[in-house]
Parts: sequence; C-alpha cells; structure tokens
Amino acid sequence: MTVQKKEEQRYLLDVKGYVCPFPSLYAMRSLGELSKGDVLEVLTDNPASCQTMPYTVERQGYKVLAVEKLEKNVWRIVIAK
Amino acid sequence: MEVVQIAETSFAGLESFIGRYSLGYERGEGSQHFLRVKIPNGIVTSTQLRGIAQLSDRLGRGYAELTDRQDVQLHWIRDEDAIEAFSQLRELGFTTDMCGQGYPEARYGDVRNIVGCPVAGLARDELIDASPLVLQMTRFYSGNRDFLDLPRKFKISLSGCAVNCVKPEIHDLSFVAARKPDGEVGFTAFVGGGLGSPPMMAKPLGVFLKPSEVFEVARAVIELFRDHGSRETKPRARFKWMVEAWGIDRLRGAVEEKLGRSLEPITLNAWVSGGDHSGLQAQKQPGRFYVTLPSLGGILPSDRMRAVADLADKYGSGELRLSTSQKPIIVNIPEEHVPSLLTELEALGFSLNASSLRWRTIACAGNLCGKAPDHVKARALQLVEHLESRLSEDLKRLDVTVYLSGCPNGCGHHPVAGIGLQSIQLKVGDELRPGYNIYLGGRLGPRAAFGRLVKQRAEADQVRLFVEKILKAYLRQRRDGESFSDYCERHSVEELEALIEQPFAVEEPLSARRDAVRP
Repeated sequence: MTVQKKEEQRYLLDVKGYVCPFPSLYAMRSLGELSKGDVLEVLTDNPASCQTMPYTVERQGYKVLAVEKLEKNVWRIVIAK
Repeated sequence: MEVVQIAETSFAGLESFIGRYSLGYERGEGSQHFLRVKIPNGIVTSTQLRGIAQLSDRLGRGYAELTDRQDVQLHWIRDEDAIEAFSQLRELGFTTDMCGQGYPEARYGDVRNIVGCPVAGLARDELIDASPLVLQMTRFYSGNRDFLDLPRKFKISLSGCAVNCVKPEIHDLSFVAARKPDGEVGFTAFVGGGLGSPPMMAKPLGVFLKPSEVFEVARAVIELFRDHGSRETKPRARFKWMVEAWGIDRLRGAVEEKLGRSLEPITLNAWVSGGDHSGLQAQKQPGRFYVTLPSLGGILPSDRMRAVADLADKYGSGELRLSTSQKPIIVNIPEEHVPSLLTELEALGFSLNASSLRWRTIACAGNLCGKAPDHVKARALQLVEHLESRLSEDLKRLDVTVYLSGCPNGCGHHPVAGIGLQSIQLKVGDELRPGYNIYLGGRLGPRAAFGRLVKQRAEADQVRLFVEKILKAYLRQRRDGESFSDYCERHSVEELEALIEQPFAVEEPLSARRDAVRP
C-alpha cells in the first residue's frame, strides 16, 4: 500500500478493491502520517465507504472536503488533516 | 507522480485480516456497521460465547442476534474499533462474513457461513453426522483468495439431519443425507436455491455422493460458478440464475467433467425438510439431552448470552449449538440435571412451556440493516404475544411456521413459511406507515412451494388480527392430520383472503368446533 504525492500538500490513496472497514482504516493511518494542512484524496469502489468514512475520519478530527463520483463505480473522498 | 512511501508500520496488522474479516454496511438505528461472526455448523463453546458477549459489551452496545445462518451478529461497530474486534475474534477462532455485497458490481462474493444441523452428532434420528465436513469446508474457504471474488455471495448447507432443519431448498448448494435401498448412507445435492426476489427452490442434482466426495463436488460447483457465473449485472449474478440458464443436466455434466468421472445417479422421491429441534430432546448418547431455547427473533443481549453460556457450563458440557431458526441450544445435559436447568431457564425467560411459535418464528434484522419500513423483530414479538393471548393452549400443538422479512430479499425466509410476512412501506394520506404483504401456505420438501400472496398492503398493526383469523379458521376447519400448508393449498387465494378479512365470530371453544367438522 502506497500513498502518492500529487502536488505540494496533496496526496492520493487508492483503496479500490477493499471492503469495509479497510478503506477507512488505510485512510486514517495515512492521515496519521501526513502533516497538518495536508489533503488526502481517497479512491474507493466501495460505495459503503462514501457513507461511513466521512463519519469515521471526522471523529478523529479530520475534515471531509468532498465526496464525489469520479466515474462508474469509483468515488473520491477528499479529507483535510 | 511522486510516490511517497508511508511507513510500513503505519499499516501493520491490517493485511492479516483482509479476506477473513470485514464489517457489513447498514443504516438503521444509528448503526453503520454490523459484524457477522460465522459459527460453522453453529458449534460454539461457552468460552467463545462469553468472548462474543464481551465484544458486544465493549463495542456493540451489549446487543447481539443469532441469525438464521448460525452467525452471531453485532451492531454499531465503528471502523476504528474493527481491528480490536477482529483480533479478539481471531483469538476465539472465528472469522466473519465478507461484505462484498456493498459493491455495485457482480464481484467479491464469498462463501457464507456453511450451515449444518445444529444437533449434528447428537440427534437420535440423524442419518449421518455431517459437521466434520462442514468444518473441513469452512477451513478451506476461509480467507482462500481463489474464492473471494465470486460473482456474488454463495450459500451452502450440509446436513445429515433427518428433518433437514437447514432448509436445503433455499441455498445455492445443499448436501442432504440420503440412504440408498442397500442401506448405504451418503448425500445428494440440491442446487440453485435462493429467497431473494424472485425466490427459487433448489433443484435436485440427481446424484448420490459418498461422504468423501462432498468436498470435491462442492469445490467443482463453486469453481464453475466463479468461472462461468454471469457478472453482467449484480441482480442476475446469483448462482440460481446460472442453474436456470444451464439446467441440471448441463451443470451435472460440467461437474463430472471437472471431476473426470461420472457420479452415481439417484432419484430422491421423499424427504422431510424444514423440521426443527424444539424444546427438550433426548440425544443419541444415552442419558444425555439437549434443549433448544425459545429466543424469539434470535435476540440475545450480552447478559443473556453470558447467562446461557454459564448454564451450559453448569448443566452441560460447556458446549452450545446455534440453530438455523435463531435459537441457542444447550447440549450434553445429563438427565439428572434437566429439572434444575429447566427451572433456571424459566427464571431467565426461556420457559419450555412457551407456545410453539416461540420456536417456529423467524424475524430478520431489518430495523438495523435499514431496508425494512418496520421493526421486524419487535413486530414478531407483538404478533406472537397476541396469538398466545388469543389462542393459548391451541398454539402449543400448532405446527405452523411464521417468518418475517423486512424486504423482498427474504432474510427472514418469509417465502417458505406457512405464514410469511414481508414488510412494505404504506402511504396513508400524507403519512408513511409500516405495512406487510401476507403470504400463506409456503412449504418445503417434495411438494415445496412458495407461499401465495393473499393480502397485500396490510397495515402493520392489523397483521396480528389477520393471522389470528386464519389460524382460527385452520383450527376449526382442518381435516384430520391436515397441515397448515395443506389447508391453504385446498383453498383459493380469494377464499383465504375472505378468511382473513372475515369479521371476528362470536368466540366458541376451538376444540369443540374442530371436533364438529371432523369427518
């Protein structure tokens, strides 16, 4: 599992193929490694994660900036640390 | 794009759970995730049950349910607590269902908990103890990456039970004990059942299998499904559609081709199905008994779960079984301990003098999954309490199943019930209210049939009255030995509808009226 740096302070985590709770867990652990002010984009094909991940990461103090459909059966959840 | 390597330690410990553990998504009563613990063949120790109770206390609000696939289901599990839950389950020796059903495409299907007769190895009249095969197959499929991307989930039953309590007709693949005319005992297979809309009954594959052949035949069938099942659309990806498309002969031929040999043909003319193991029963082991507790709807909060586990230690061997009708079973009770155990069970609210409906009612967890317009388990309790108050002693002898589902997916098995209730949303004026469609006369076995839709869109609060009327009509009018489903079969839908719509008659003793109509 890797996190890619897209640009300064913007990172990408691809968790397609993972079912709950793993997209949220990978996202939380990645956020734990980033710095305050960084943004993490999470790609998932698990629609349930679009519902649950925002609650999960906000409980940890992160801010969800967007949940959007990228293409058929792929969603992007954007989270700020 | 630059790749930033997040320290491996950040993800440490996650990988080992993937493929064996997951949380399911739900949206009822503030729960986002359920945790469905697979209990293969429903065999569990008191220590394991207490461990699950502890997990429920710590992470699941002290609530738990037994499912009709011999799982224990917890709710309100949070993502961030999942690893703690998975770790504890791994220590206890359990895995969970995978939640691939959350995907919009036809993929990530897994082999669900393999169900077996809960009193395997104990029941006096079983043909064969199939539980070792269930456990062998469970070990093979758990976390096996070759079988984690089936077109959809895959449900198996495997039982040597004389009454086929696992309902073999409703699974994707079932192995049913069979005895040949020469006395040899083995299994035959059923394929392509499923209760999701539209429900389909599994069909006999027409083969006799020695116990040693079951594993490889199951594997061949599942591989055929994995490699040839439709992945075009999710609703059409269940195995039953492949069986419909292929037909039995082609499927059997493909299995034989995979095995490299022909299978022995057999025609099964008669079998019992959908029976149960209610109440106190003698085991095949002399002087030993098991008792099935009447836990309506399978609700077993952690304190009661712990209490039941303690009773299994105190009066039995510390082993319990979970039935496919959402009931815990305490086993291996020496005869001399039975009276004391029954007294303690009574105090715990599990009276064996309860009506038959306490054992024969199944209700899904629709209030928590979020798909049901009604709280189905609460409705089941309301219904049973109402019928108990109106029918009293007559209910004790009644052999009728009442199954409630919150939606057409049929997790509560409503299509095969004598009285099947499926929750729907009603719009009355501007108000949304829970309602039910009422199906009557479902049955399993050689004359398997789905219940017929007799009443659509009944208001939820009225359902108990409709059910009371049809049961009273049956009690008054049944012929000698006539089952409820037979009674329904000899009436048209219109006649049955008239019976449940009729005004309440002036009450008369049911027994007297039943005698009056006996030929």
